[in-house]
Amino acid sequence: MPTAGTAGPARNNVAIGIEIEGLHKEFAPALRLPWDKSPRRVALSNICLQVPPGQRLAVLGTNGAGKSTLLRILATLVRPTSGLVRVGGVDVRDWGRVRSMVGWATGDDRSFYWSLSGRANLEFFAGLQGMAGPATRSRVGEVLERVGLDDVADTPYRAYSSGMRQRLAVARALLHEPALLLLDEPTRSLDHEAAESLRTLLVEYSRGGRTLIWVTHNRAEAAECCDRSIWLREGRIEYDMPSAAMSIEPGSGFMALEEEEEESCVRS
Amino acid sequence: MRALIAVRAFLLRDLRTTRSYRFALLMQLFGIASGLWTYFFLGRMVEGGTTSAFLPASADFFSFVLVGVAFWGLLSTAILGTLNSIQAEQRSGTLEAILVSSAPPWSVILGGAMLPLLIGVLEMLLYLAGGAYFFNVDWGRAHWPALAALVGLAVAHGAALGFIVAAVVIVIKRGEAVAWVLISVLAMLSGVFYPVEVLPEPLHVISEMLPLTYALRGMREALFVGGSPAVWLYAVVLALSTLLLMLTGAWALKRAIDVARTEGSLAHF
Repeated sequence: MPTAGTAGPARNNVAIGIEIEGLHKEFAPALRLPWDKSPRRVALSNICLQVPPGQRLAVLGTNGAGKSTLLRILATLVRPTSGLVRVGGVDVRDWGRVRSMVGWATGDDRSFYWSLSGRANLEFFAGLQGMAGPATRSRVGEVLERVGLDDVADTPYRAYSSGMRQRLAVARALLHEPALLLLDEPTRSLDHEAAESLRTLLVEYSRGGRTLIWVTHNRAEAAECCDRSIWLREGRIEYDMPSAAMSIEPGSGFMALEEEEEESCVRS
Repeated sequence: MRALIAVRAFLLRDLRTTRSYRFALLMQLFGIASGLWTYFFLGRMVEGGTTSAFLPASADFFSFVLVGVAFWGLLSTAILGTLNSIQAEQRSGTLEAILVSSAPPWSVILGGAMLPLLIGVLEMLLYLAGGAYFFNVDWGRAHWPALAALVGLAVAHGAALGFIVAAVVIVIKRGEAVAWVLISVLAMLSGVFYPVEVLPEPLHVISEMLPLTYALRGMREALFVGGSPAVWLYAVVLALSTLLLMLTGAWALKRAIDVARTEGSLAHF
């Protein structure tokens, strides 16, 4: 892997883990009218998962399996219907306390201001994280350099390619050096070299106890970058195993190489 | 402190974005000028009518309306600014990224409305200055500190109303209609264009229960009479009602965000 610079001093350098017990999420209007017969959609069902501090967990699965919902619950953007979800020992329902520990790299390229430059966008989001003063500008410059966008830092976001937008999303998530990094397909639109560079950066970032939840469709990436992988199907964890034990052959199904399925986390 | 830094971040962002829209600012100035002339001619038409009996001693209809219009522009901005700030983020797709940050939600909404509010204050001052410069309106008796206190309280009142409208927008995703009905009804009942004494009795009773009626009375009193005890009484009424409305608005906003998080609809519009 190419080297992409080292992580700076941690702002949130306390290692945190994740505890999920009996998580159930179904989507339905909160204010349901009596004549509204639209069905409730179950996104996650009875998920149990313990992620120790510093672990890199890959979340894989087909479209609609519940990967993004799981990520959004951890990011406090979606509230669980039932069950317990704790980030660093804090219930995600207490979203004010959880958010300062979390960095979220969304895959949605609409989450930036198109008329502002990459730098101006990051300075804005740094302000929302409570960062101010000259240190903010140097921190923004630092993360832009780490994701390889320093040469286009002052170019308007609308002129960025998909890959650049993806890297800027990662830069934003790294701004306040969160103890938990939530990554929604961070290398989706990147060319091979840029993807490798970003993977290196993220793996290095996780050293020192930071926890990574890495949603991806790329099994090779999961095997290369993550300690452990889970496979979601229809809102349930189907497999949970060390990434090294996972088959990465396309079309082979999500099988452990030695056919050992670890299901200890899955509650029936 | 974190909230103030967030508000500052919004202000800087909006200044950077607005820099490229100088033409819109020019059009706003044109709107103020045409508004001044319209109310001047309207004032000449109605001068000496029944309305004049209810005006403050040193005010004519034009100067009365001038204060109402100048203030109303600012109050509308406070209500619509908060509403627009949440809608703009929903539509641009940035709301979720903002709400994942550690900035308190109220600071996000207030921050988004900050630049429009500052422009609103500037507009109000331009109305008052334009009235004095072009139409010889006499502000000689004005008590400016009292006016500043009343304007500050009224803006906070408008922002609190905006928080409630923003809460409605977050839950039902459509809020413009609610905001416009609110603004129109308040304009009709709180004495923006005419003294509330000319309203039919049932509407007059309702208008006397609205804090904004006292805000406008207080401002006119401060401008046409000076810092009388009545001005400070109006300020106290406005301050108490604003405090109550702020608490209600903050609760409504938190509740609305919880509902949207339950539905997973924070970014929907």
